[in-house]
Amino acid sequence: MKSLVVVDKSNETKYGHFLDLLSEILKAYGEVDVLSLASEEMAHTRFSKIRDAGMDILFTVDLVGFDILTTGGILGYNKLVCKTAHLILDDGCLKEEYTNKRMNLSMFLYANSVNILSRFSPEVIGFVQMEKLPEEFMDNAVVTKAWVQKFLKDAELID
Amino acid sequence: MNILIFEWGGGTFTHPDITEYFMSKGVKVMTVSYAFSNKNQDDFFEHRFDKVLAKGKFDLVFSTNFFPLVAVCCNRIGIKYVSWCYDNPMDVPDIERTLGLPCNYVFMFDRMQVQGYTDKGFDNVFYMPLAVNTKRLSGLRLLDKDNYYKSQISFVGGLYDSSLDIYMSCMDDFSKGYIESICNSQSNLYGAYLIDNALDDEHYNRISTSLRNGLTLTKKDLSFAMAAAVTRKERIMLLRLLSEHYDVKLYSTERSELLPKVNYMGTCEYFEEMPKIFKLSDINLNITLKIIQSGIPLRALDIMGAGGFLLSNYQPELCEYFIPDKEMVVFYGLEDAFEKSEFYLKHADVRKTIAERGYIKVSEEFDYDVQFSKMFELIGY
Repeated sequence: MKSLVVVDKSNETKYGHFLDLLSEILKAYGEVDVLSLASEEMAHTRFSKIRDAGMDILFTVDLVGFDILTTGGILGYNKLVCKTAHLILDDGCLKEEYTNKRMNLSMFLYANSVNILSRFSPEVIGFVQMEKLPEEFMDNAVVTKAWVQKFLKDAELID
Repeated sequence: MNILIFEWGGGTFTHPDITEYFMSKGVKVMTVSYAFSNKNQDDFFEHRFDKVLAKGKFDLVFSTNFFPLVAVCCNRIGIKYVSWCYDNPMDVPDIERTLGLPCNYVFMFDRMQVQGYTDKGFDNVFYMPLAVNTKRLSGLRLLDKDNYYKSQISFVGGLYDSSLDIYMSCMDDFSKGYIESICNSQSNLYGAYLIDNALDDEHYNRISTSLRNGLTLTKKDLSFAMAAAVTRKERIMLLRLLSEHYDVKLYSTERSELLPKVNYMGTCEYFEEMPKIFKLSDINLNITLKIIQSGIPLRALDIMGAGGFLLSNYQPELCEYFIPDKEMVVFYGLEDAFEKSEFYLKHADVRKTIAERGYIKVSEEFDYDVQFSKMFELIGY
């Protein structure tokens, strides 16, 4: 199982410790890549980098890439054939235009607070699995490992 | 009424118009999407979709194109699944395994395609031509900057990259010669489809056993590759011929070295850009994928619905619903297409009248309201 963790280049340092921790845990399940996306790059270039990674599991941090849309205005991530966990670690990343974008059934949305999750439109809330992240998620290896296991189970990637 | 729309991952062209139509009728609509790696086997999808169905209390599920696992889930709880297909052929392996499920009402736009399934005993596959949202299209305003789209002749569509050459490289000389001769016969032949009849069991088995290098090929794949190769040849030959004499713009994912005089414009956006291209081009070409044996492709309706002048290859159903030379113009071969282009480029007034009549016919008979009314009557709503 290949995992890809996508983060905005400007957040690389801020989340450096967490990215290392997550990658280390995910290595138990197979290959792991971390992809830093520079927001000034063209949308289709960024999307190609994600798609071409050929992952089975995708983790995005702070809704990176949510500005990448298809010509029909659909979230580009909806085209990907993989299970996805969108992690909102910093509430400040949430833009109004992101909250009404339809997400497909293979996506899971996680945030540090329930308030953030409630800002998404009913259509997103209705069909996408949304959960609050556990306390110490970013710092405590035991907590992060347990969360990864639960996500993989919910996504039916492990028994 | 409460409808759940299932949509393929990255979206479909028709989804916004269909959603708008349902909502205009007071229907409550929810949409879920998913990208399958295997359209026939995905336990995760089934579990998730079962939950969606259980939660929503929907009267029916609708999708553009047919999805086997949506049918399986709907059938499990006895909810009607209505699908309206704009792909031909359907990109669904083993479609016949799930097509006949009692929950299904499958609408296809090509009468010959429907007949094929009816002949096989499927009594839940129905004929329904496609539709366009003429209200949206008529509201589109042209700006000065849109003159960029002006052209004598435009073509919006792919050139179809066929795998036939690769397949043929693994065949013996007899098979290659046989396939080449069928493709040559099919080329520039409109209103008759030879490929499937020519690939009868005897010839298909002969070709199949001659394959080298471990290649295996289903009859369906070979048939599609041949149809795509013929379509590609026709599209390139016509565009090349016309571009020798006129300003021709091509909107496509692919640029071809065989078309040095065609203005390659890249791809175009469906909802705003494409209608402007159709409105601002003197002639809009429709060159149908060969495998669509009789139906009206969405592109032809898109052109007329945007008020554009349509010059199309002959398609039986196009001439059944539209009056040739009054509401649109058909050609029967390369030379005919060239001569008609020459004539209509010289007669702007005639062109304009034909485009106006075509628009009226589309808005009266190919609107979503018209087609959905027929569908829902048949379904029992």
